[in-house]
Amino acid sequence: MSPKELAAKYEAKVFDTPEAATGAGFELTETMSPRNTWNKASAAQAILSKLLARRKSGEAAEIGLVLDSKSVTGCYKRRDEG
Amino acid sequence: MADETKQPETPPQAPEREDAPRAPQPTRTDDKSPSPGAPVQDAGALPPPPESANTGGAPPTPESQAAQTGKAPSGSSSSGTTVPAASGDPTQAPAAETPEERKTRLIAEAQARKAAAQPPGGASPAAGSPTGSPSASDAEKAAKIAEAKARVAAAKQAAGDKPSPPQPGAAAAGAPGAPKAPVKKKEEGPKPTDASGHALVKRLRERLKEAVLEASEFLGQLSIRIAPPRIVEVCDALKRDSQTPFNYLSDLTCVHTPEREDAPFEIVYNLYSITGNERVRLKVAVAEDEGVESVVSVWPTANWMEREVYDLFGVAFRNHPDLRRILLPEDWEGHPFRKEYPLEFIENNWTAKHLPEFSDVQKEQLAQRRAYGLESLSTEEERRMREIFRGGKEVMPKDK
Repeated sequence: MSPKELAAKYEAKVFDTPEAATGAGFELTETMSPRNTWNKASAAQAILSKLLARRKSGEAAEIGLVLDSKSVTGCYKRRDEG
Repeated sequence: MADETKQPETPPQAPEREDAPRAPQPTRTDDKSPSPGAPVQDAGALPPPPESANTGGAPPTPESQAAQTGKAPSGSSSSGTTVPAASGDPTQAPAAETPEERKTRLIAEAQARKAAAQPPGGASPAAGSPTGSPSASDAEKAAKIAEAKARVAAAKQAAGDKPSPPQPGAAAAGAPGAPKAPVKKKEEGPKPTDASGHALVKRLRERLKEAVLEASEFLGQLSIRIAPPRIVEVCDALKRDSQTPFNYLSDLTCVHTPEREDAPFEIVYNLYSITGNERVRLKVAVAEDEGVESVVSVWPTANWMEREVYDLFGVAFRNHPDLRRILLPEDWEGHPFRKEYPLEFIENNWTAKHLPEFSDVQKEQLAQRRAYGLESLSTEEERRMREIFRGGKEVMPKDK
């Protein structure tokens, strides 16, 4: 599956740039710069797995991926405490 | 070798040796030979020029020109040759005839015979219209075109009238131009079927009852899902089965499915019965912290296989005699075959601890090597590739 398909499957938002994600109130997590398509999908899968754990634990209200041409970055929006 | 020059003294009917080499001779369709007194041109000599051909024979007649060229005798012959006689009777050949004239006459005779052999319906300038006018030629072309079109239409009609299975709502399928029936989509691929009736499954259920959770068969491959706590019991029973003793553990592997939150890991045992030539696949779904009982006591070869699954998936095997990593270092963090582990190498704590730290120059070199994909090459291959990069113009001559 491609990173976009993975994001759709796990209900994650997709951003083109890190600025767009931070502008929408998301916090950036780790970034991976894979060299090829397969590694990019794998990187997206790995990042999403950790983000899903955050969402499952209640830390994250929303999760997302920043899909740059040469990198994949995870992001999430914190759940409001109030 | 036979004499290829003029042979005036040779009699016309002189017998020839069959095995003697012959000079190329003009084709003769009859036994008539030039009279001994007539000038005979050697066959091997060059043909006379066109203007000289008109001088030797009888004056050309309009009929002969029409027979030769297929055109009306009103115009002059474009070839410049003359035909002494157009009739099929070879006895009408003139006495003094050069080989060129003879050749021309024979061609005209052959054309006349061909025209006579054609059916009356066939349009030919020689047979249908003796005059061979241009209008007749056009009519012949038009007739041929019409005939070809009729043949094509008949072929199309025949193709459309082929018997086909009756399609609902396709009454006019045979008519030309009618819409084709929709192509039937391929049926979906084979699906696993329930294998509760399989003899081996029945035997297992008789002996172990609830240990067999589910049995399915897909493309002739039997898969049995086993209750995790009873895997050793089932394996032992299969190994000691009287009919098909599964005495060979072919493979032991694992599948990670994060979507199944209660039991994301599925241990797969591929068994083979050497004596019975049968295979069976056992599956056990386990959680990460739960683990599964080791089957080393049943098949000792499971030792390294379980170590590999433990190393790459992180599934623990209870009662394993030597459960430790088999491929990666002991202090490696993570299990690479899990879905959350990325394919591409990333720096981690182990690399920071065990590998020498790179200087800035080395980091730059590493970045370059990665950019060019050189880090996967051997030292010798990398040296060769670097030489190629240095002489880049030789590699890409278009850039010159």
